[in-house]
Amino acid sequence: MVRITKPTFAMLVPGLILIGGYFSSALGESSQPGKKTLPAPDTSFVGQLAAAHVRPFKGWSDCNRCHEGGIRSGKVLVGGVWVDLDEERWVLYREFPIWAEKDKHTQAFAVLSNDRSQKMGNLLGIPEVQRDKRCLACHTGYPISQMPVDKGDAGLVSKDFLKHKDISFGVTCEGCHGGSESDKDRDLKGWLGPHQDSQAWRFLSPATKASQYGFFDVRSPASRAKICTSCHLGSVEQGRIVTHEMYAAGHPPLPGFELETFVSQMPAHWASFHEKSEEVIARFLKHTEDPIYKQGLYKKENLHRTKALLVGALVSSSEYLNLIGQLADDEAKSPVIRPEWPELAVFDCYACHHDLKTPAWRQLRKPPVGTAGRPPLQEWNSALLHIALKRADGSSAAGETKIKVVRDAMNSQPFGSRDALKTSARQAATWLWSLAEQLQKKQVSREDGLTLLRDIAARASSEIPLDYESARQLLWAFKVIDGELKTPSVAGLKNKLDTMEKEMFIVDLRMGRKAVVAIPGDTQKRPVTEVDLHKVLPFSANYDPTKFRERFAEISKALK
Amino acid sequence: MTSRAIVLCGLLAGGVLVVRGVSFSQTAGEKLPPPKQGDISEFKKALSKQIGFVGAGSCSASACHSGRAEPAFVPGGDVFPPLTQRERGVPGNEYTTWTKDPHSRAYEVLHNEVSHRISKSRSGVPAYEDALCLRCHVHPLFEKGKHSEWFASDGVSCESCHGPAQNWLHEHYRPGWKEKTAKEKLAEGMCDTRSLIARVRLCVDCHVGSPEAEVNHDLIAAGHPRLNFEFAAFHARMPHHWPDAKDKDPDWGGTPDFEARAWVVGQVISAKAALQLLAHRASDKPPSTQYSVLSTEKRIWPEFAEYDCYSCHHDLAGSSWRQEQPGRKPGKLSWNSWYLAMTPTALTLSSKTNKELADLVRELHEELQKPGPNRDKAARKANEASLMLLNWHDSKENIPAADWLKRILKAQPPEALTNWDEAAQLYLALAAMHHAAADSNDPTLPPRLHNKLEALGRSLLFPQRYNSPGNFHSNSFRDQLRKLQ
Repeated sequence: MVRITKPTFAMLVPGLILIGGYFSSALGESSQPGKKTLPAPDTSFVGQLAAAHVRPFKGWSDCNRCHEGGIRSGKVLVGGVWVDLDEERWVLYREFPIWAEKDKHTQAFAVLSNDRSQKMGNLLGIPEVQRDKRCLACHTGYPISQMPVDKGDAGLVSKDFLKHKDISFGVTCEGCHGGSESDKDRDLKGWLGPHQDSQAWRFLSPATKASQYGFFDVRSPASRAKICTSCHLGSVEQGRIVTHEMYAAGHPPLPGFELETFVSQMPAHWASFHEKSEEVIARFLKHTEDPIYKQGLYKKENLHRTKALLVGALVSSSEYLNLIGQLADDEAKSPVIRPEWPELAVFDCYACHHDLKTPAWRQLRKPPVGTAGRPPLQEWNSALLHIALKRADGSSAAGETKIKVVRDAMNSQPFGSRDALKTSARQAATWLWSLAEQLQKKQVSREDGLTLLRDIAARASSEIPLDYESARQLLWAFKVIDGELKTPSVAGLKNKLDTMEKEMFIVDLRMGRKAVVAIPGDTQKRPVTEVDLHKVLPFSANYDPTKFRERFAEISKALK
Repeated sequence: MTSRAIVLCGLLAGGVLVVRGVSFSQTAGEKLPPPKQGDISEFKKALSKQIGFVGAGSCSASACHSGRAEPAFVPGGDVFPPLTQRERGVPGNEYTTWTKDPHSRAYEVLHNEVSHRISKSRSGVPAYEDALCLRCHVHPLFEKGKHSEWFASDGVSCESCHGPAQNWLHEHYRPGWKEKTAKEKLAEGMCDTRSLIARVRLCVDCHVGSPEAEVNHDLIAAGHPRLNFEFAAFHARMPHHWPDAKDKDPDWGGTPDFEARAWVVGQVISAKAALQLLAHRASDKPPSTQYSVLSTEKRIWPEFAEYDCYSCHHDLAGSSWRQEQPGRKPGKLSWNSWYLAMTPTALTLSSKTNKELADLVRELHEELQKPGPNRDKAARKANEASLMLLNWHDSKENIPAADWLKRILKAQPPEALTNWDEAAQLYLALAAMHHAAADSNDPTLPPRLHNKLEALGRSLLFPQRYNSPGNFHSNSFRDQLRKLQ
């Protein structure tokens, strides 16, 4: 149990006054949101800021002052109307306890002290896993550029850095929302003060918040997915790379990423926009600068999670291809020592890592997935890609061509043709990203939702067998969409899905082995939930694609 | 069984003989480049002499190699019903024995479902017409259209190992032939199969692979079995179409320690062939072909067939004994140790120095464990290493098998065994020595060792429906080994 001291209100109120004053000067004289005095949104901005623009981290102790228990500060102006923030519930004011108590991101650093991590360190020749930048890049939320380096070894952070109490809680608020402090030396304004101005802040476009104040765009699905995948897939420019060497030494395999499932399992510490009151939604739509919402396309009854899921699928593919392109390119910069190409971690793990059995469903696949005997691309992120592409631009033919170039580069020789991958992977990635941006501005109706369910069921029950991770992607997606439709699409579906899940998949990624680890500086051992590979891995080893296909064939039939 | 039936068989065989003889004489006129100096197998040398083939039918007359010690005919059944153990290898039964030899079905399998799948993953040309497949499944020179299909249907037949018979077919049963030296016979096209070195060389061209015909990872992934050849074991399992006594008889060029010697020679010649193949695979220069068949196959690099299959092909597990292996670098590729696991032991026991070879092998391991190994370096080192084995000669000194068995056991630190291939090679070495010692009724052979070795071998078996040692655990193998030691 994570214990964090609650702030007192006495601390809170002066803080608000000070910060409020700062913000009004920062935004100019306007008291109305969305006025021309605000800087023009930088539309070219995507996802996270480049490391150089990430503001310094302030630490969560400033966040939990408001986000743990509410502010109860009386009425404030929001969009020209006086509202009680606590009643309005634009913000939950419970974000902090949800994260602290339920979210495994808080254990990201702690697990570096467990047996598995220590064993990994021994095998990899890393004496102090907790100080290695390659590990901390994902196991804390800090950008590597903000990690003070050890005097003797540039690969390690200084011992003092670990004393920072934020570190031991792994991926903290600023890991996903961006560093919040102003950086006077670099003349960068932070968002800590400005974001407390309820009158103005919420109506700014995400791009403005990011470019002017260093606040990451966690609202737009594409940007959100990009923030998650920077660790959950990897990012060369941020030094977040799980190498094959790390996997071989014992790092648990990264499960295929699906935005909506991951968010709900995290769990979300916010209420989604469509879950807020009509009044709040109306007020927001009236004043917002957010291009996704301001075009008048927003309809509450549409499927917002489903849209995010599709956008997430495009971003996952985009970021995966981007990772390949960057790893194949010596010129691509990284704050950590780049692994040598070919970096085996980008290939499909299970294409090689399986006991050889007869008959072998991989060999019998028609058409074959790639050239037999050549390590292929990971399949999971293309499972939903085709379905998402259909929504994004009406046809997937153009995408097929762009992605086929990458596949050909991958198949042309073992571990792919480096030069061809370097360019083709990033071209496809850029294209997919632009589609994700377009798609997130579109709306997904309930009818679309049903069509998507049929598409998923059709793919899941098609003659081309799916591997474990791809099948799980489809299952996850099916559940998200069906759940958002609320009225069950097929009678008895829940039972069908539950049985399939139980028999064939690890669906809940939070499941694991309870353990305690000692964190330097802590008086008590910290409880953690570790990935139990003894339980997880047999599921993928024993997975039977025929069984999956048969189960979904029933569902597919019922959907027609 | 009636005498009429035997005659009929003979006639049928004779008829085939005539047709084959005519058809295969076509090859005689082809112009083949002269042989180059170097280490090439006997049959390749013979091939380069532009000698034609006559087909197995020419050998199978009942008076020649298709007789039976106890003739038998099953009406309506197989013309050649299974030979009893006693009948096999009896002079006159060579062809009949061979029909029970998997080599005789080498072509047939090119029509099966797996072959069909493999051919689809290649050019789409059916396996039974694919030049690459036919080089090992029929004959290195066989070409569809040029040679008759019925020759192909024999699979790996008499002339595949004994050499093209056009020049010696009618000579080899005449007085005087037996007195000829191996060299003189070779001049007529007949390959030496008596000397162990020559015999192993004949096998390794296909069973290990050669620049002209190799099984690469693309083929394996499409469904071709991996090649892991160990001469002594393969030789022991192949139905012998000659009397075993000959192999042990010095008058016939044999030695009483045959099984032990077969293991040593097999190790060295196979290792050499494997290194030559690696040199070829790694090199991106045009193949310096030593005889007429020029492989046009694109050489793929890195060639995964060079690697330990099961270091990648294993289900992922929560904790793995692989991670515990001493000196192992996590995540690196693992060069296949099959052909070089026991060779140093074979060389040491036969008092050959191998320090330089061991160094080269270590350097090769270093280079090949990189995911992007330098091909020039690998080719150079592999070539150097193979040259070290080029002039290896069988010392012909008697091998005290029981003593060697003990020395092999003692020389093997159990903790140094890191994978299935190494464990399997060790087992095969022990098995070969045990055979040799048991055959010569060596009194120093420990009692009940046979059962213990069998148990060791069982721990290497793949689980049912597996093509990999799914539940093999090097620690339990090591424990068994310790007990044996």
